[in-house]
Amino acid sequence: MAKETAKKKAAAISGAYRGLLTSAPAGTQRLDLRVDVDSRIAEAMVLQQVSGDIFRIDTMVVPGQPPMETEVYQESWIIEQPKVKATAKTVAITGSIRFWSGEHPNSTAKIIIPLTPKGAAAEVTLIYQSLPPRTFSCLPAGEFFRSVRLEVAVCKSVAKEPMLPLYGTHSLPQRPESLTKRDLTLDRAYGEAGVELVLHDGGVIDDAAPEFASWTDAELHNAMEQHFSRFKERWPRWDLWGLLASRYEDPFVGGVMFDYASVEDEMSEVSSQRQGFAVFRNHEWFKNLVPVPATEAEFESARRFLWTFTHEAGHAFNLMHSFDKSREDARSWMNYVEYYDERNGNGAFWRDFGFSFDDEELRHIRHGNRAAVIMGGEAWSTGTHAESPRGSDRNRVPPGALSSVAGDLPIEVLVRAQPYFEFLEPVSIEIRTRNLLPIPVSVSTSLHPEFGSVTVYIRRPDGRIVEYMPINCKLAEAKTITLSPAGAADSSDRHSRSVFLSYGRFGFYFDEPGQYYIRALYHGLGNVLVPSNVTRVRVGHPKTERCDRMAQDYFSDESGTALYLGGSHSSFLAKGMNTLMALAEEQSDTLAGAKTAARIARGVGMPFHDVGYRGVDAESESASPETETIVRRVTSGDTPQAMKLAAIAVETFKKLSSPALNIPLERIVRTRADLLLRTGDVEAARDELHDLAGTLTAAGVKPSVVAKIEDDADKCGKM
Amino acid sequence: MAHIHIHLQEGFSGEEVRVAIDGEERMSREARTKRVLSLAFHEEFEVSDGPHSVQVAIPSRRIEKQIDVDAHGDVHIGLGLREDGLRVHVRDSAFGYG
Repeated sequence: MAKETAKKKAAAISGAYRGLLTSAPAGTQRLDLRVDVDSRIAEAMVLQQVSGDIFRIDTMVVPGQPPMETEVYQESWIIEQPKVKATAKTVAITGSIRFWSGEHPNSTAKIIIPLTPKGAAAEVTLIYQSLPPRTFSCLPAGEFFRSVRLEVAVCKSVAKEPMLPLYGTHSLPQRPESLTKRDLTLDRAYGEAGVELVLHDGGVIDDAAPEFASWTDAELHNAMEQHFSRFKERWPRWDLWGLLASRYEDPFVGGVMFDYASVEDEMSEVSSQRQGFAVFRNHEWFKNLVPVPATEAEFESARRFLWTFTHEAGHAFNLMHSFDKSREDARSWMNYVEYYDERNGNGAFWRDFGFSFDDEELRHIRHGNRAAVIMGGEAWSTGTHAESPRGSDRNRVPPGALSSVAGDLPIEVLVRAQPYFEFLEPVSIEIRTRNLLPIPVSVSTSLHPEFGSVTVYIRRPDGRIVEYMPINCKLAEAKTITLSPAGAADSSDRHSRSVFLSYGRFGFYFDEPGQYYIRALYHGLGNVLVPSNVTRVRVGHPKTERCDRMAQDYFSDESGTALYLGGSHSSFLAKGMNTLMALAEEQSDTLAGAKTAARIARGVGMPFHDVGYRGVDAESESASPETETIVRRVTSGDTPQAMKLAAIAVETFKKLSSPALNIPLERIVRTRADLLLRTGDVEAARDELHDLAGTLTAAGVKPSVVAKIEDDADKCGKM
Repeated sequence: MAHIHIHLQEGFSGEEVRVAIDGEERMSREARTKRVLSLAFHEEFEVSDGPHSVQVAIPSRRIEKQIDVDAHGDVHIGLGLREDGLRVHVRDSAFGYG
């Protein structure tokens, strides 16, 4: 008996813990640990799980300033069947770790949580097969597993009490018999889910314009952009915006999490999702909403008000409707009352509902892959319960990993691309670094995966995320460029380069029509790791049957390699070159044809050498093993063919005139000028460059760029 | 007069949906479900009080369904497109979405 009493008195250990890596290399990682093995929060279900998020810590020393520290989220894991052993002094938890995605060696964890003194650090050791163990020292960080800041704004037309929900669970007779009596608010509902919801006043929005009647998703998103104090911050983050508004465009909608993909589709850039929701006070559900309910109808409105707020915020945690997860009978905040009643009888939902999320949803909210839960992380309805897109088990890194940054970064890395590529059009992106500091900063000039300074991830239309692997890996002395302090008027605070992504070590990366997402990671000098934005590009469908048929030959390794190399005279790639030339000529008025022509023109025009045998003709196949191996010239370049290809590109780029084509146009005209200089036609080369300067001036290109072209034109033949 | 509300709910991904009431075509529209609401759209049709026959057709899925309703005031017909066919739910009170 005495033993039992002592057991009951033992303090619960569940909750959050946070701390740094103490084993070597100490201080370079942080762990957010969530222990969910005993009851600490009233009415909160114990899931018997332990989970963690790992962050990489980068430190940058800037002369004359304190060291800058940034945290980059790396990955999340879960222990689904922890073994818990308690003694009088400690609780020991062990179990197998499952990383949400990515490839890892078999891993286990050992967690020692001291019961005394209060607030002592937990020792967490992650043991990887064949790798040194990693030990973290984690201090208790509260009873909740996660903490979210919710900013609630109210429209003036509905700014009357109650503006936030409050419902006594025993106010109405339709309820489970065993339901605990309590007053539920939005923050308490989430508290019982293990989330600390910290409410902030978001102010009042004047919606009194006489012509304004109802909200669309796009208008709600726009209101969030203007009024959400955290909107301009770096996302993803544990922040959320809620709006109590009047009415949605469809009057049957009582609330909406408006920040999801189809709203984003209307935007040119990829933006974060799941940042905001709205509840519509003038919906039929809330017609009897009063500050102090007394009648059945008033309590029903109060109950619906609580359900709607909790349900919409649930979407922001990336929860889908129960019936979309094949859990039509779930007694959850995420189910529809009418759908449940349709299957189980009128009034069944409220009779059965315990005012909680279901087990799977709780597991997602508390222990799910951070990138799939955090606001602004994975897109809505992706990663939700499978936690990662189809096929992501083949990823080298988890989706969403290395995308979230806390702290100030020394540089910005921006990935840009034209938003639409024709089918078979070579895909290139621009990667740009920009100094964010008030002092000069050195960055690598080789912003290319070939040099290892940049890693590029591509999310394909089927949801699979692949790392772009170049054919060549170049080992070279790190070359740097010093960027001027942030804000330099002459743009010397930034450096960019174009990166060809169509083809790499594992084939073509953009061979299917559909939507692709691209993100880069810059590995800077020292240990700085900077993730870029995510840019979205769409690859179109074949426009003609002929184009579709050409794909058969185009998507071959010979064509891909020839394209990657910028054209080649190698006999091994002859078939591929023929395909590319045919595409350039047959589709000359399309970007697919013109860009292919531009890509291979220089290679066609330049000399080419192969390894042959002394005394044996380059065309001959009969070399004896005794013959001396030599490098020999196969061709001095096919200048007429190269000029023809370049002419195709120039003509089409000019005809399709667009700012996105200015750089490709400059590049191909410079190629033409080089080819002309090689043939000794200095005058023609000069004319090409002067003509280019005129075209770019008319297109509104920066005078400094045009001046450089004019200068190069004047220098033609003088170097 | 009464009103028949047609709610196109879960499962639509661009299918053309035709609705006829008592043999007269009243709607032909592409439906695409907003999954965050589980609703594509809803439309309201004015009819006389009394029994009516509502025919729903989704040609691309070869679905045709007749729903008989006795309309007084408002009648709400919820339609969900599922792998095994069309789910139909008829109510006197409105559906709500969130």
